[in-house]
Amino acid sequence: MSTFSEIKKEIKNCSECNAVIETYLGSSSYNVICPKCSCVYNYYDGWFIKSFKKLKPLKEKPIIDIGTIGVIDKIKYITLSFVLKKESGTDYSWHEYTLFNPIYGLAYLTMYNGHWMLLKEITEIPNVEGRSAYLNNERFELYSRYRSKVDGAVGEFLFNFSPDEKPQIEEFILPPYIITSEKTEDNLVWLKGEYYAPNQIKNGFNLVDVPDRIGVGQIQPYVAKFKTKFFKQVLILLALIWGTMQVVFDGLAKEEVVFKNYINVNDSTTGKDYYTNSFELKHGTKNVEITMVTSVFNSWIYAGATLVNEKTGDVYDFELEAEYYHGYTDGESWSEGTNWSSKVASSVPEGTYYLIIRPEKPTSLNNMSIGITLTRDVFISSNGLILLILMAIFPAYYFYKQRKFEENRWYNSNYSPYED
Amino acid sequence: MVSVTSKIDCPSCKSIIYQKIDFPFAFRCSKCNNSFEVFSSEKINDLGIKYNSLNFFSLLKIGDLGRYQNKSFEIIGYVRSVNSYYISNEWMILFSDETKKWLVEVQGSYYIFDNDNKKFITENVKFKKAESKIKFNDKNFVINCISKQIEFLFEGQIELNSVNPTQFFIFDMLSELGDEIATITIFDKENVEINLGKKVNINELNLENINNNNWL
Repeated sequence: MSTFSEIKKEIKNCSECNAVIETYLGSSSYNVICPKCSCVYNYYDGWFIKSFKKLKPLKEKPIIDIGTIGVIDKIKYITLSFVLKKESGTDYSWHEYTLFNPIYGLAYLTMYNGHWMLLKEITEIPNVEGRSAYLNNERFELYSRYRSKVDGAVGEFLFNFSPDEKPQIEEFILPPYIITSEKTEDNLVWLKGEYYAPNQIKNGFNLVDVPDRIGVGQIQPYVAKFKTKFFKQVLILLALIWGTMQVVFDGLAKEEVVFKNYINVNDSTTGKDYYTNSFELKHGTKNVEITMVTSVFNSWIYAGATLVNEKTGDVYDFELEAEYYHGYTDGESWSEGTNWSSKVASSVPEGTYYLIIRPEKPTSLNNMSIGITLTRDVFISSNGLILLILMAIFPAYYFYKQRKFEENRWYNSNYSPYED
Repeated sequence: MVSVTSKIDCPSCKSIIYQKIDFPFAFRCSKCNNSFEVFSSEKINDLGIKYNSLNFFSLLKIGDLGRYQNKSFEIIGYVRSVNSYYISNEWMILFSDETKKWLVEVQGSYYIFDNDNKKFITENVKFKKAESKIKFNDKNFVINCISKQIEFLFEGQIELNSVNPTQFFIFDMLSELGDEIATITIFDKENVEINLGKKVNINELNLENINNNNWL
């Protein structure tokens, strides 16, 4: 009668090197590998028998020892095996730990360059279209295609461990998630994985130390504290606030015309001062806008204007220049410039003021009447533009950094969307 | 719970076997470890299958009680099928309404299979590889594992047609939608069967002995 037992440590001795081999699942394990000489044993039929499988001795020690119990996402796992894997034809390798929980099954914890991910088998078959794979309506992008090979292993395996097999791997990413397929002639496995920060693994398995992260991980999230989607929502909110502020400030501006007159500019008045009557600027300290409107055509007209405070003698100078040209070249109509000009002085205190206007025109220009208007408390859209630019600095920096981060993420991929 | 219908004596050691399922069935005596096929209380033959008694990890054991889809059940038999890829632990569960299903555990994942193997057309599995598609009941399945049984062991009581100690091919498949799984068993050219199942969470089975499991 067979015995169905709890997980418990069992000690065997390697028939080759006499090293101690610890197993935890008895004959639930298909194969067991000696930690010293890498001899592979069959255990599935109850006998601990050396197999014919050949395996090179391990070149690296596991970070998590076989038999270590750890917790990830509140699920307790026992570490059953460690495999050092390589991309066939390359030198770089990564760690793969097989974790087991009797209720939740197997999970595979991988580590490359200090970046960790936990993968679990899925029963859904993702729909692969070109360089994309779709799983539950989410699009994952192809990151790599390669053949993997085993470069050393230790521990116990619930499946037939095949050190010579080189399965075809396809990896699709949607950080912090990954879906990956492993395919041989007779076997196809789809796994879904998620990124874990080194500290989560260190704390979960009570490890003294874990390797520092190098570069950007394959599915490392860009910002851990908040997601890009949330950030975009905040940006939309800020844009709405900005738009509302523009409308409100526009509505609050009084836009009171305090002076309006026409000045005749001819050869005798050009270059001479014109004094206006006095007028009142009210509402405390506000801006003023002076506007010159002309009917200039294929010429220019200029007016220097000085706003003078009668009581204090404070002056505000403006230069107004209108030039407008129009013609035909190669049968095409064109125009350049405007026949009006406007300037704003901010923070002009209330009081009694007058204007000194000195118009100038070229002699080729006939007599012309120019309209001068002074408006108190106008809405200045350029202020809103400056605010918008200031508001855009952080998002622009964020997205610039994100792009750099993504370029680094895809640096090792043959399918980078960031390459020309 | 399941009612005990009758008792038979183990022909080898005379231990009392409480019969759980209808004739014909097979049982392995827990005392003497011999296996028999039982056609009636008078006709009991030695199956002649000899194998090691194993010691291995399992959450389940024969005699465990549970409840699935509002029906109570008892685990009455066990099949351990080792194939060229993995070990399949298959538990025959007998429900209170006398129906039976297979609760299958592979690498810590659990599946419920119906106990009604259907005939399958041999031609439909010819030249198929992993990732090939096979249609059954208007549903597309994708082959995810092709293996060969290399070891067979059973305990407790199982239906006689479930005793398959020979080597045969197994095609495991997943439905494209991920809601169903299927296993095609190829015993020989003329004898191909398909069995449908689905993945379950072990907690869905309300097994009495795992309520306080410290791995939960």
